[in-house]
Amino acid sequence: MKIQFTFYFTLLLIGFTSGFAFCQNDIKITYTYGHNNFPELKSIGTLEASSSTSKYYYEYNQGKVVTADGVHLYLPNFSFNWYTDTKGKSVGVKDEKKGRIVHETTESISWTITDETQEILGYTVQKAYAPALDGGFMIPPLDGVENHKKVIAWFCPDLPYTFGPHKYNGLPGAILKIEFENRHDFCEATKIEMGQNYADLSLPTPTSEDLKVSSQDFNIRKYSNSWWKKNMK
Amino acid sequence: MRKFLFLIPILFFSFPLFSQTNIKGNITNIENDEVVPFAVVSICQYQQNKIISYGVSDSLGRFELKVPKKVKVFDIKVSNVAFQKLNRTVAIDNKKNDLFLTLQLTPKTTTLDEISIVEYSPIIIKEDTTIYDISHFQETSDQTLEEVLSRIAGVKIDADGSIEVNGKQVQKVLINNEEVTDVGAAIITKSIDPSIVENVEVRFDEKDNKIKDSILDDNQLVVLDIKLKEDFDTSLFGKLRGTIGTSEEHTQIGGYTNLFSLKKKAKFHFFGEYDGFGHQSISLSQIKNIGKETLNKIFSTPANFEALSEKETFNEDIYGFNSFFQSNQQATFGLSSKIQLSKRSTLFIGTYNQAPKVKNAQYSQQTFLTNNEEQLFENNVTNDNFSTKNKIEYRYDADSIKVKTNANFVFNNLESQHSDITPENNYLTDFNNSDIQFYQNAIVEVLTKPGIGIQWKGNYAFVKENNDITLKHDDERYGIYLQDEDNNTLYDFTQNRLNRNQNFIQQLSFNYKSRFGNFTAGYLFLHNASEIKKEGKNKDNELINTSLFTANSSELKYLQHTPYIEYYFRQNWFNIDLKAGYNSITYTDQNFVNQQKNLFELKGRLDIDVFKLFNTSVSYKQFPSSYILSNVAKGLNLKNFNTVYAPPIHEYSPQLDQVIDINIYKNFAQYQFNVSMGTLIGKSFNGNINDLSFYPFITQVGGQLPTSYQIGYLTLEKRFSDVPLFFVLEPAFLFNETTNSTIESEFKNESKRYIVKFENSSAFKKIPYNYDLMCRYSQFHFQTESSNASDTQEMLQLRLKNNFYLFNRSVAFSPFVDYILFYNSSDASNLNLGGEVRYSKQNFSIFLEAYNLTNSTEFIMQQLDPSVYVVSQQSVFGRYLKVGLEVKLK
Repeated sequence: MKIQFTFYFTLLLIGFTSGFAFCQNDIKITYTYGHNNFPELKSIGTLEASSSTSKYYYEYNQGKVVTADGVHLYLPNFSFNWYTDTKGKSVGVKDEKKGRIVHETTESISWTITDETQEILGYTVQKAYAPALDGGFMIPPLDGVENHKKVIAWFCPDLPYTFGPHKYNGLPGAILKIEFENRHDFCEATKIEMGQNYADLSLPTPTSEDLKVSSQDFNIRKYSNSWWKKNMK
Repeated sequence: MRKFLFLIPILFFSFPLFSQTNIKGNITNIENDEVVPFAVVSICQYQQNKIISYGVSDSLGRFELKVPKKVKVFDIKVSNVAFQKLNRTVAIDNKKNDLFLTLQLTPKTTTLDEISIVEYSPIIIKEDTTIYDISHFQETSDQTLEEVLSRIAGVKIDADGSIEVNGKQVQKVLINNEEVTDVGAAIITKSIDPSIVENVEVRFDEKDNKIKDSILDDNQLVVLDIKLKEDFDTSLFGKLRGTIGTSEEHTQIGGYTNLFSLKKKAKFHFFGEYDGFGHQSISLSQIKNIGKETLNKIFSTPANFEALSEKETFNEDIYGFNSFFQSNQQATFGLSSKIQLSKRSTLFIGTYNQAPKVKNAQYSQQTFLTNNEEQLFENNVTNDNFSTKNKIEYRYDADSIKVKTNANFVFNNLESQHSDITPENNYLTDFNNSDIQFYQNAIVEVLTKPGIGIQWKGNYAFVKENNDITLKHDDERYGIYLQDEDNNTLYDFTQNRLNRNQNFIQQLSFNYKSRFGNFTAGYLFLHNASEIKKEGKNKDNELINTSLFTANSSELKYLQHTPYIEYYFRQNWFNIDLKAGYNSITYTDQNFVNQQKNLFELKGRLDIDVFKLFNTSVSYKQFPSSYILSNVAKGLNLKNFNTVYAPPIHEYSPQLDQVIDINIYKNFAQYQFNVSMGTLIGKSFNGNINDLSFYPFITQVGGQLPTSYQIGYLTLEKRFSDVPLFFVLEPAFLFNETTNSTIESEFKNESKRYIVKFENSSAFKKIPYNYDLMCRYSQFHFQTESSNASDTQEMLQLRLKNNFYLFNRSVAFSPFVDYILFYNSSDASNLNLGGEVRYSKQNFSIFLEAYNLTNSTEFIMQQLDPSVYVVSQQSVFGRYLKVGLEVKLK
């Protein structure tokens, strides 16, 4: 009886672990947003990716920063999801009081890949850059620099996903860091969790109840001048 | 309108700039042919990580990328989290605008070895470089990189491990573009496991000055660079093997260790082997560039047949067989390290040691050519050797200075017992030979101004040789030579010979490079001195002063002054190298008088790509032969039980050797067909006079009779792309001619050997079977003018090795049959049945090896010497069984 039990248990264990191993190829990357001039300003973004689709979730908890000019800025709570597939189609979804707003795009980023490398979390990442992207920031231009010339992405060829944080994607490896040529904010991976299962992940299909907005509108609603100026002291 | 005209040339020239090649393909799972969607595909510059183009496969596993038209060779990298990374080098046919690739990925749960790729070229040729994808040629049963290389069309591996690619000798073997050791190809290619190799790159014109031996020399250096897999950890890897073998004579445990540690600053290689059955993995004779070879590192072709037949490859080339021994117990170990002392300086230290015990046995029939006497004898030999080769070398490499200096210590000790039994007499001969050799070499090269350089080479060598030979016999006739002071026959005779030799060479040259070529003017000075002591002794070890074998020779000298000029010119499709030197030589002659002789030295070489069709190389050289001072030393030498060497009686002086070498090679890459043909002619004047006046002794009187040889070959190699089959057809001939003389006349002896070899092997990946087939027909014809006698021997050989793969290729069953039929002059046959069963997992394998199960030990050989024709029946390795466990360290 004991032998039989051990046998079935072993079979079960093998079946379970092999099935588990087969599906567990997806990845979760946690990013921390920061700003060189405002070290206390930190927020978290999370990328969940299978090899075909990714979902990026960003959330900012209300906070206050004081600029170099002594201006107090109050940032409200806000969050959004950004879905991308390997064809370069992206869908941004944000829940607002009035309902869900959605932005769909197939805008592709024309990256230039360089030979420059660095290490992030033990992975070798390679530098790529692209021209400034409309609505490419995660947080408002706190130091007054609104226009950036280039976005710089550090991607990891050893992580074979073409996704990254926010709307940055389309490189031959997961993006672990984003920075900008003449801005001081950045986001960098602080945790990588392999063996996830996001097999059910897919791009949301907008419904008739959703408010479909342009890229500009989606971004304006993300950090519109109206709300942070209103909160200035 | 006119202002737009300037746009026309811009449009015209910009069109090719924007033209691109489409790289399309699909990605599937190697295990079940299912598509692999969403894999990241990157195209990188060849051997660099610079990404040219990239994309992702779609839901059907398809991808499409574009690369600029000018990119002809690139690396394609495919990754998907569920699969192992695939990294392949791909070449684009010049004429095609599209390339379709089928890429197969291996799930991460299976072994890396099974990754394969189809519909791409496994051999990539670009300018002076050829890249071989090793996984394409690898079979499950392959244990070393050498085995895989030997299966590639255009690659030829000699028995001594040296490699020829497309008719050119590989001079250096690198790992990941770095020299790990400088002691020959064999030590690396016989050690590296093919499963860790990504590809092998052969560069026919190495450009890296650090790898090149000279910064002044523009000659093409051929290197073979082994690229290990990108993610392979080189900090410690290799192989450990334990075996136990048994034969009718004994049972013995054996072992083998081969370890590499290749770190950036220090590289180590250790190997050790002890085995009593079959061939050893690495032989000390395959360790190159230590000791005497450092004096003449560049491959030199011997001008005389004797030197050629002593080459290790000779028996393999002529008989297709190299195991002319009954038993062979080998203990070998070597340790080498290369340490990067600074950015520009390296230190190499190596020690290689071997202690083989070998037994040979044969029955021979000797026919003496001038008196037609026949002698039958049975010969048994036991050799107990110890050899050590050691080297320490320092190198400094900068842009304008190169320094290399090394010290070499070599010690050999051979104890050999020969028993020769004729129907009438018994002869027992004991040899005890030892030598100590020390060589110190230095090369300094300085580029003083762009295009102007100075080179200095120097070396000093000291060699001390002790040769003791004791002959015990019961032959009354031997009193003719072996006598005591009272002229009584000695039945127990010993000769001790001591030779101290010192060699000193200095060479200074000036080099000027211009667009008209590379001009060198130099001066070489060589001084060689020997002191030789010979002592004939009786059985009580008492010196016999009156013996012909007792003599002292001191102050034997050879001095050479050689001013020379050299011109080298290179173009895309041809290069020419011409050297002329004038040798003024002072030497000790046969009468111990110092003589003077002047010899003109000439070397010419032309490499030409005729109409871009055939690579043709023609070379001619005439140069002073090595003047061996011990040949003129006073007193006789007892060479073996029936041969005595006597110093020359006629004029004996330095002579000119001549070698002509012509090779033609063509690779029809698009048809995967190679043709090579060549001829090699050597002529020298080193033939001794073989005299039978003191029969039954053969007296070799030092002489300078002409000897010559001619070799010709044609090799046709064809690989089929649709079916993985490989065919080689190789007809060849070897003629050699020696001259002998008696008091009355001079006569010629001729040996003609014709060989036709056919090889066919398969490399099926999808069916669990492969084979290697070799058929060889040989005809040997021997003829002498002395008696107008001739003899013809024919030999037919068939060797078939099958490889059956079972259980998903984890088990390889490889039975073989090797059948040799001897007919015409002597009839015999040799049937060798054996095989191996090997169970391999990723990191270990277990094997059972059986050899010569029929215990067939007969092998017929013929040899025509200047005075004697010998037909011998060799007793070759008998049957044995061996089991072993091999562990791969990765």
